[in-house]
Amino acid sequence: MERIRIKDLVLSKSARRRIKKLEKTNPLAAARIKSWLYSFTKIEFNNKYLHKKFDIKKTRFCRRYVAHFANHAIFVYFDFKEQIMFVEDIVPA
Amino acid sequence: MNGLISFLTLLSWFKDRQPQKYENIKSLIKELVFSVKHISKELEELLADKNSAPIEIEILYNTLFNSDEESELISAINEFLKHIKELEMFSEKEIKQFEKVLKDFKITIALVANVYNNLKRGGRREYISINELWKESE
Repeated sequence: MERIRIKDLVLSKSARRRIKKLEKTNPLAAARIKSWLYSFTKIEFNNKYLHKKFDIKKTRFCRRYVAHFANHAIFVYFDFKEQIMFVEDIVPA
Repeated sequence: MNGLISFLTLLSWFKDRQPQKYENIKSLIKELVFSVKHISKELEELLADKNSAPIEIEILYNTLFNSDEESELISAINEFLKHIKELEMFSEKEIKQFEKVLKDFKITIALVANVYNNLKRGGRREYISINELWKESE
């Protein structure tokens, strides 16, 4: 099974805004989400691992990987070729 | 929300007086929670369909988020789960099933926000590296 390595992890402005807001209102959740996201850059993983961590939802734009973590839905898009993980949105859920 | 909590508490009181009716109400609550599955499915189909009208998604977003980014519906679901656990009306297995259905529903609601935000921005987004975020937080 092919192994994936993420070289860069980037956040959208709205995701960054949400983390900034959480740092004030719920610092524990902010720290948990940041560490959780950061952990993806530290390991090599396969597709099976990815499917364990995320649900795949199809939207009118493209396929999104969604995780439910620390009472938030985290929307992620992967560019496997460039090895970049894009954090699109973090929404309370 | 307080109304729902009062209702659930009242239901526990009703249990000893009208056991059969209490069981009927419990089944209705169960049916209501499981019917949410179908709503999630319908919503996801609408959000995946490129032909669905943006105005329809905007109305859906405004209904769910009521012009505030924190959905009251999500707070209500969390409160419902918390109280239903405290009242011990349902078995652990049933509670786990409720949690799964409602977690999926909460993610679908968040998906509405995600699709709406994408529509509003025309799909364009600017990104920053997480390393910058770490530096800013230090």
